[in-house]
Order: sequence, then C-alpha cells, then structure tokens
Amino acid sequence: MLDRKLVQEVLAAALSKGGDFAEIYVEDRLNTSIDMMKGKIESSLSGRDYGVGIRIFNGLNSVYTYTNQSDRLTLLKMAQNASMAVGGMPQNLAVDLTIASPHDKHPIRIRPEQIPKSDKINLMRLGSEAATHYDSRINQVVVRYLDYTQNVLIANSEGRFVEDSRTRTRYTVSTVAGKNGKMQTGFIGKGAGKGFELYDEIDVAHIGREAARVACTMLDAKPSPSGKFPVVIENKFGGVIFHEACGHGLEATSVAKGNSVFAGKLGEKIASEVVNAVDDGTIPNEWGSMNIDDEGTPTKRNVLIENGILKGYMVDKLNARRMNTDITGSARRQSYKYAPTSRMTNTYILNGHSKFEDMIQSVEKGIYAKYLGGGSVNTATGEFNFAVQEAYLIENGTITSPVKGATLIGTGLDILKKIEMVGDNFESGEGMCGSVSGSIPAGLGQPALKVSEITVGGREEN
Amino acid sequence: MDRTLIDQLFELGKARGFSAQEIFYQESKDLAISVYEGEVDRFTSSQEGGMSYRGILNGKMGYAYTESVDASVLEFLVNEAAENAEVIESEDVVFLHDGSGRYKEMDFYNPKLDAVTVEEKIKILLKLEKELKSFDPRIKRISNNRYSESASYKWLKNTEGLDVTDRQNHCLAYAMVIAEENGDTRTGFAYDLSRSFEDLNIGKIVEESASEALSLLGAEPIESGSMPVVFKNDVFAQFFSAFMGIFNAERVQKELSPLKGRINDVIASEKLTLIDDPHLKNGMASSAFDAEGVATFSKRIIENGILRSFLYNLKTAHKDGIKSTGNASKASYKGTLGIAPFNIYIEGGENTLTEMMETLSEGIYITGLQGLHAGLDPVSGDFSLQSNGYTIVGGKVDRPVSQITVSGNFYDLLNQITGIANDLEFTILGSGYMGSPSVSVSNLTISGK
Repeated sequence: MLDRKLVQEVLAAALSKGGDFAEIYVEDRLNTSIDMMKGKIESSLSGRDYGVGIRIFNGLNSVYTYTNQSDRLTLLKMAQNASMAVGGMPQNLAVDLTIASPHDKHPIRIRPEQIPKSDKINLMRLGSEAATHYDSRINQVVVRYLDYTQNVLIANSEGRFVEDSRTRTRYTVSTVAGKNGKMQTGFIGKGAGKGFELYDEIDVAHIGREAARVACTMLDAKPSPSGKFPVVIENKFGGVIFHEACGHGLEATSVAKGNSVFAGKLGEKIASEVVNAVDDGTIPNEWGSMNIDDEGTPTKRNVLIENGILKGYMVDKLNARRMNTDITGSARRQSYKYAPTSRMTNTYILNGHSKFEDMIQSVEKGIYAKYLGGGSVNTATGEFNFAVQEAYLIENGTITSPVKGATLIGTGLDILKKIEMVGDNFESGEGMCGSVSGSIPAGLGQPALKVSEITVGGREEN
Repeated sequence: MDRTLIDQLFELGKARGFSAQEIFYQESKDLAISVYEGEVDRFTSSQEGGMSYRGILNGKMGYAYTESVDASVLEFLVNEAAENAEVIESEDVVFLHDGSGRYKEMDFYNPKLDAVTVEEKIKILLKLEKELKSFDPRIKRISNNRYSESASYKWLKNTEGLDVTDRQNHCLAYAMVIAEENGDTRTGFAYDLSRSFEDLNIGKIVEESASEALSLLGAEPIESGSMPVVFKNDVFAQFFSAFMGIFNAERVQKELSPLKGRINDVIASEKLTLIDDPHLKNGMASSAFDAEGVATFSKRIIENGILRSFLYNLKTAHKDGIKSTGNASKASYKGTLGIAPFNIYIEGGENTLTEMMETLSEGIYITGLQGLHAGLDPVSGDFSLQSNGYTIVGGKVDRPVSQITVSGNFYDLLNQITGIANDLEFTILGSGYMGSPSVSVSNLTISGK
C-alpha cells in the first residue's frame, strides 16, 4: 500500500522535531451498497476510500493528522508539521521496521467483489419477496445489501510494520406495516466478517419474514406499560444492554481520566455473580473481529467481568500510558479520518445455567424484550437507555400480548447487580457503534437474561 | 485539483454511453485542539477531499465516488457508475439540472479566521478550562473540551450547463463537565459556534455547561403518570429534527411517511409554523444552491398547523408534477442524493418561557433527551425517551429530575401543543441544523418510580 522505505522516512520525519512515538495508518477501502425498495433496485453505489493518518505522542499528549494525498512530499511535510506541533525534544530515534505477518484467523472464502451484482440482487429479491408476501398489511419493504473490504497498513516507531485486510458483509430488511392509518416498522439484519459465503449459512427469506412479522406484531400491539418491572431480555442483539450499561464504561477512553463510573473499581464486585463478560476480537469471522487492532496489536480475548468481579478494561496505547497498564488489542477507528482509541470488538455475556422457561415462569408481571433496538450511555453518570423493538407482557409466568413503544433505562452500576438469572442459549448479534473514533462494526451477544427490576418507559399508565 | 481531469472524465463517460454526467467535488481543511490540565492534550489537523460522479445511462442514474482524485481513477468511476446504473430497476425519471434559476448572492467565508494563530486558539481553551475549574468546587472534572474549525469548498459541474461553487468556514468550541456532590454525579455540556473567532463566547460555554451539571445534582425520578410537559428550546429542536424524514418527498412517495396525501390538512396545533430558510444570514446550513445545483429559497412546510409542502429534489418533484423546492442533499461525496432541509425552524410565539410556564400549576420541564437515534420511530410516531429536567410546581421550576422517560406519539403531540415561547434557538445536536423555541404540550406519559 505504501513502500516500506517511504513509511520509514515518514516515521523518522514525524519524530524529527519532537515526540517519542510515531505511527502511520494507511487505509484503502472498497465499498458496495445496494438498496431495494418494494422489490425494485433504487440505488447502487460503489466507492473507494483512501487516506493516510499520522499520529505522534509526546508523553501523554498526542497529535493526529490525515490526508488523502499520498505523495512523498505531502506525507513528509505533514509528518514534520505534526512533529513540530506535538512539542518536546527531538529524539532522533532510528526507526527500523520489521514486517510482521500474523496468521490470518479470519479467511474470506468468496471475495464479494468477484460476485456479479446480479447475484447480490437475486438475494435481495428473495428477502424482499418473503417479507412482502408475509402479510397483506406489509406496504413497504427495504432491503439493503452491503459489503466492503478495508485494507490497512500500520507501522510505528517501535519497529512494527503490519498489514491486515477486513472484509465484512451485511444484509438488512426493514418493513412497514399499515392498517387504518397506523403504521409500524420492523428491522432485522445479519452481518459477519465474511465474504459471500455468509449466504451459504443464512436464510435471507427468513430474515425478510422475521422483519415483516415484527412490524405486523407491533401493529396489533397495545402501548407498553410504564414503571418499574422485571424484564427478561432475549439472546443475540439483547447484548446491547451490556454494551451500553457497562461496555462503554470499561473503555480506557473514559476510564483513563476518571470519566467512568467503573474507574478505580478493578477487583471489586460490580455485578451479580452470575455475570461473566468478555470482549473478544479473535472469534473467527465475527462482525467485530480483526487479526490486529487499529494500532497494529493482535486482538485478544479480554475478560471484563468474572463471577461479578471487574477483571479488566479495554486499553489503547495512549491511555495505557496514562493508566500505567498494558494494552489489550482494543484500539479501533472508523477510518483514517479518526485517531484510534479503545473500543469494543465483540462483547459478550457468557452462558449461565438458567433455562429460558424458568425465567419467564418466575415473573408475575413484567416485560419480555424479544428484539432490542439501539441505545446510548453517559459513561460519567452511567445512565443508559435502549429501545425495545418487539416486546410482550409477561403475566403470571406466561408470555401474553405484544406491547409497543417501550424504552428501558437505568444506570450501569445498578442494573448489573440486578441481573438475577443468566440463560444457557447464547447467540451473537451485531450492530454499528458510534463514539469518539467514529462508527465501527461492534459484535454483541448474550444468552437470555432476567433483570429483577428496570424502568420501562411506555405510554400506558398503571 | 486539476480541472482538466473533469473534461477527461466526461469524455470517457460519453464514450461509455452516458447521456448526461455530473461531478460533486468537495474538499475540506480541519483543525481540532483539546487541552487537559493546562496542556494541549490532543491536536488534529487534516486536509482531505473526494469526488462523487454520477451519470444517466439509458435513463438510469449510476453513482460512484473516490477519495483519490487523479487520472488513474477516472476509468474506475465511469465503469462503476455504468455498472450501478445498469442494475437500477426503479422507473423514476431522472435528470440533471441545467444551471438555470437565480442564485442568491451570499458569502459564508471569513478569511479572518485563517489568520488566527494556533496559540490564540489554545489560549481560549486554557481559559475555558481554568474558568470551569474555578466556577464551583463541585465541578470536579472537565471530561472533554475542544476548539475546532473547518473550511470547506464545494464544486458542482455537469454536462448540462451547471457550474457552481461554494466556500464556507466556521469555528466551534465546546466543554463537557462533571459535577459531584454527596456521591451524586451529573454532567453538563455546552458549545458555541460562529463564523468569526472573536465572536466565540467562552464565558457562555462555561456558564451553561457548569450550570447544567450543578443544577441537576440531586436529581431523582418522579412518580409515573401523565402530565403537561415543557420542552426547552434546543431540546425540542433536537427531538423534532429526528422526525424530519417525514417531510421528505422521497419517503412520502415510498410509503415511509404517514403524511402522504395530507397536503393542506391540519396536522398540528395552529400555533405551529415550520419554515425552511436556506438564506438565513447566521444560519450554519445556509447555501445558495442545493446538492443538484438548484437555486434555494425559503418556504413554509407547516403554516399555522396546516401541512403546506414536502421537501423535494428534481426527481421527486417531477413525479408529483411540481417544481423542486431546492432541497436535494448530499451529506458528503460518498452518498447518493437525498433530501434535507437547510436552516429549518419553528417560528417563535409571543410569550417568554417564564410566562408560558406560569400557566401550568404542575408539570415537567424537559432539558435533556437521550437516545434520539433509537427511542423513536418516525413512521409510527411512537417515542419513549430517557430524559432529565425539573418539576414545575405552581408555574415555576422546582426540583431536578432524572431517570425518567417521556413517552407519546409524535403525531398526537403536534396537536397537543399548547404554547410556543419566543426564545428561538438553533442547535447542531440534532439531525441537521434546526431551531425551535421552548414548547409546551398538554399531556405526555412520564415513567419514573
């Protein structure tokens, strides 16, 4: 992507006026996206992103600069200016790069760019038709197909020079169901760090039907009750609760300067003892997996919580200096336009021993959250929220009628202690996560779990 | 960039069979600085650009974009756009603008901003940090602060006669602070945005961010129930902007907006008038032309509660047999063409916020909403959002409230507006750039204790 000799020159220039560590990140990415509405292709877009980012540290301070010009003179000038900006004494460090070639843990079997667009469109049609024919009340179906391959080169003044290629594929179906002027929506998606082979493993017609089913179910649903209730949260994307309630608060991005409610709590019991959580970027071909993180460090499996005890944070190079701790292979960024920082990869609550049926049976009056929507958190206060896309009432130990428009809110420290039962039906899901270093693919997952009490924001008064 | 490249590109496209072609070129220069404990903590600078290419091939529009703009990529653009056009099945009639129409003369580039030194920019951040730290002993940390500036250049040219450019710049500063007292932690955020460095009001950022965090200390949930709600001006703007897609003609035509067929119907309280004015002098989203190069103009979307117009681009306007409202949008060179407002705002009423609140014996004053990307559905209108604010007792703000949700249906809410104050304020924190005065609503469900 960039010649090793030039990379070496740029890194030397980056330390010529100041700074004690320099890094270069080169990105070349090909994107494809196709949209189908009501069974017809509406738009198809392809593009190429290309750019170079240079980062320099001087102690705890950092400078980041990027461009999408890659000629030698531009890069050298940019590196020198950045070096001047970071300050400190010139160290004249000799940079000697060793090419690392880590084993590829996430091989791509069928490269998506080799598949004709017509094959991709045929798949979209299958999902679209399945959704349309599910119910006569379905009046709009939007299918979106996405694939990209992001090639990166990362080198730094510690001598590291490493390349990685990340291919990701995603397929989503959104539906609108309507009756008597009322409208409701459904959304189901599936993605992976895979190529076109993903479609040998998933049933796109099922995704279409499921998205249609959610919209129709919600059309018949009454407003959710409001107040505090026990809630059973289903597996897969249900993991967004941990992602928001705790995950973000364990990123060094907020922990290092004490801006997280979980700062300074290592070794303390922060969750009920049935909670075991990890962040694992090594799982083959998962949505949030990579061979190396965006600082060039191999990803790993990081234990976050063990039997309720806080075991570790997710830490990038810069914050590791402030926290005086080790890096964890967790540095991520959307593109060369962002300096990397610690982020989640695939964040999971691990299997427990409870049975789903027992969880439901244990609830006299509560909510069963089958599909969650997105959410957000304020890491300083720990206050989080997330939407429930498909929810049901639980009455006397049985799942009864569907309810719409529920949002669950709480604080991380409180909710983790109220996780009463953890199921044995773990599955993973995937989402896009937005934070300081941009929007990145983040894997999540959990078995079903029961929270003894959480604030449910609905419209029905009790 | 080398303008002759575009001639080469159009030649190549013509040979491939494109009947009309267009480029949308964008470049920007950005700078961002943060300080921590009296030192520059993060410093980011960039210079970047990219180009979108689109063209009509056998009546279908194909798109492609690139970030490396040089001779080697021209063939990629033409081939990809052709391949993308060939798969389009939509029968919508597409065309490019010929550059006709009167473009309003406006200048949103302030060359003086370029002359401000980095030292001066660092100085105002250090001042911000210092003033926040000494504001109140309960302000414990500044979790984030930033000065940033951006200068952007846009060029639209096509084979049909359009050739327009735009250059703008602005600067921004913000702070997020953490207040603590008796084991309770609260955060406050404030920013200021301007086209001139001298006008950035650091004192206002200090005052607003610190006061927000301090006044929320001790906040607690209230009992669940329904009650009148007053939304703070910029918070209502963030909330309303999340529903903006329902006025987008493309979404209306594609059954993704319940406002289909409702033009000239009453959809809201007669107090509500919604205006999109692309020519506001201090508007941060002002522009003389839209993303298709069509001249922009001011229009009323809702007038005294009556739906008057949707937002159109060329394609959707043609479909409805009317003229484009000049609302074609492109978030960046990366996307395909969409539709969006420019400076959109709810017109102010006559009373002050205080006077509006005095009419309520009890209720809740919402000063913060979270999860706007998740807790609402523009299609159904249902929303349930994590909120904070204050109780209203006897027409006055009483005690701070947190850990509650406010829920309802947007389409019902529009008809339940009981008051619109005279304190119009724009915000960049929603989706797009939107302004609103504080708004009171007769009845929403609050979920708390």
